[in-house]
Amino acid sequence: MKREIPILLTVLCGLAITWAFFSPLPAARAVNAELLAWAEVIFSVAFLLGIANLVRISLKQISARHPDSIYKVLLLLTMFGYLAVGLCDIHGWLLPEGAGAKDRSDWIYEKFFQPLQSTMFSLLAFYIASAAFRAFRARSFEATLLLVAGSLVMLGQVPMPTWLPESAAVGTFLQRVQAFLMVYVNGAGQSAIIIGAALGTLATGLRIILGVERSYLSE
Amino acid sequence: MVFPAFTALLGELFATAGGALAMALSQAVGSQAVPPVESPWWERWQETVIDPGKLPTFVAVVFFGAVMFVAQSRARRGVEMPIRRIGGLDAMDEAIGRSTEMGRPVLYVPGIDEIKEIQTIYSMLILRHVARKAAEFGTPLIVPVKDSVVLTFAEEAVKQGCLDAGRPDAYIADNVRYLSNEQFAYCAGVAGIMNREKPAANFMLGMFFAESLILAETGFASGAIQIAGTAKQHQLPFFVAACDYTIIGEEYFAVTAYLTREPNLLGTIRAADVTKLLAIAALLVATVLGVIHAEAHFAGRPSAFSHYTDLFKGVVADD
Repeated sequence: MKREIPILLTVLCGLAITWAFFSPLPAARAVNAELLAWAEVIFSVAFLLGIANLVRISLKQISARHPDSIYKVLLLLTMFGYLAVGLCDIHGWLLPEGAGAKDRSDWIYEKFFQPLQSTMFSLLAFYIASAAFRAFRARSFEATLLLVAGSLVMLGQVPMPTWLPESAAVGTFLQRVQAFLMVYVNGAGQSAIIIGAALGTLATGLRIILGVERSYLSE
Repeated sequence: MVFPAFTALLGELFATAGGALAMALSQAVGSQAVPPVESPWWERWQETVIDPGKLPTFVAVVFFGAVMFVAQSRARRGVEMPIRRIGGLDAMDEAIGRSTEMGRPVLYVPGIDEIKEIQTIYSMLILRHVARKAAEFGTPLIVPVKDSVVLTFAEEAVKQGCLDAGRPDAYIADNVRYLSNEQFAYCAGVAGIMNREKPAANFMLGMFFAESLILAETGFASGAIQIAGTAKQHQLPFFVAACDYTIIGEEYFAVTAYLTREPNLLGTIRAADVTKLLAIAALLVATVLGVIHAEAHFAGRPSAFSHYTDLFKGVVADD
């Protein structure tokens, strides 16, 4: 029963949601909305499990005087500090004169968290350069093709210098080459991957919904 | 509540099916009790039970399901279903073995999407296999997750993998870690694990977005052997450039079938291949018709090509 009941629930919920996708019946939509609302409740409660996991592991490392424990102390201070500020904002506790309801938590979010996120994102520019440098080395026939195609696409995206003879004609030609490579060569490859992935998704979805794939269940 | 909704749903269904049956019977026996039929029952059934705009998708799904069941029954009867070698999957054991030899942990990143994403669900299935192999080799497995629901799935998958290997003691609860619900905070956390704990093998399997290259390049810089897999086509070039092995698109969904060789799972791979062949054939017919009727198509006149392409409208639904 430990396996059968979860499989039965999976099959019923999966079929109900699949049917809601295909059926215009209001009742089918209602079942779908109800199941999704249940899922939202589960997600919200599970958030506490995540926090518990984070706190448990951090406290263990701090008490064991792990070399990284300073990061864990900072993590816990930040997490509970921001939680305290958020609670104060929600309840209007210790609110300075003239301050808005979420001024303090918004300020912390905008002044600390967003710049940190932007910093992480900006690393992508450097990583793209280093990855492209490795990928574009002409070590084999395929890598050489990639190098040539990549160079043509890049050249097609930038304006030609005016001192170059026939720069306008060269620029137009490169733009056409770039468009050809992107629309036909790259587009065909992407479509093939999308068709394969869509069929894989369909197969996996059916496998799980119909109870064929059971390896997500405990024995 | 869901139960009244279910009851109403069943009521509507019985009303539809019952009405259709009553009309069919009354027509058969010539009864006058039922009012005359305005439209055929299958048309009304289609309008009420199946959204007409989604009928082609429905037919495609039913067709795929039928092919899948035929292929599964053939596989169960012992018909051999060859599956081509996938380098990234063959390298999984090698990567875990390398970690064992170096005395360093294995890192498994299950992507950053929620559990309702099929790639994340599938990543949990692969995680169980990786956990089993890591437990057999006695190598610690670190699984950082971004979503707290995924955390519970990942804990269960790792625990089950250790049980499969006959090594329940190999499960280390502190190695399945919730880091953050924010994309780049999670990314920074995983990069930190790669730099501080120096895993010798990084598995990145699941749904990835802009963080894919940051993770893959950090892993490359740390010297780990890297196996990545996703069906998200926009992230594939980054993984191809920065990882040792990349499992691309449909290969990603073939992992459990490839690793277990279970007939039921192999049958689904065969069904996907058969459907793909039909899709290729349909595309070739469209190409030929498109070339023959190019003039009519560009002039906006109806042709065999436009009628043919109309057949497939709705197979890929918007929502």
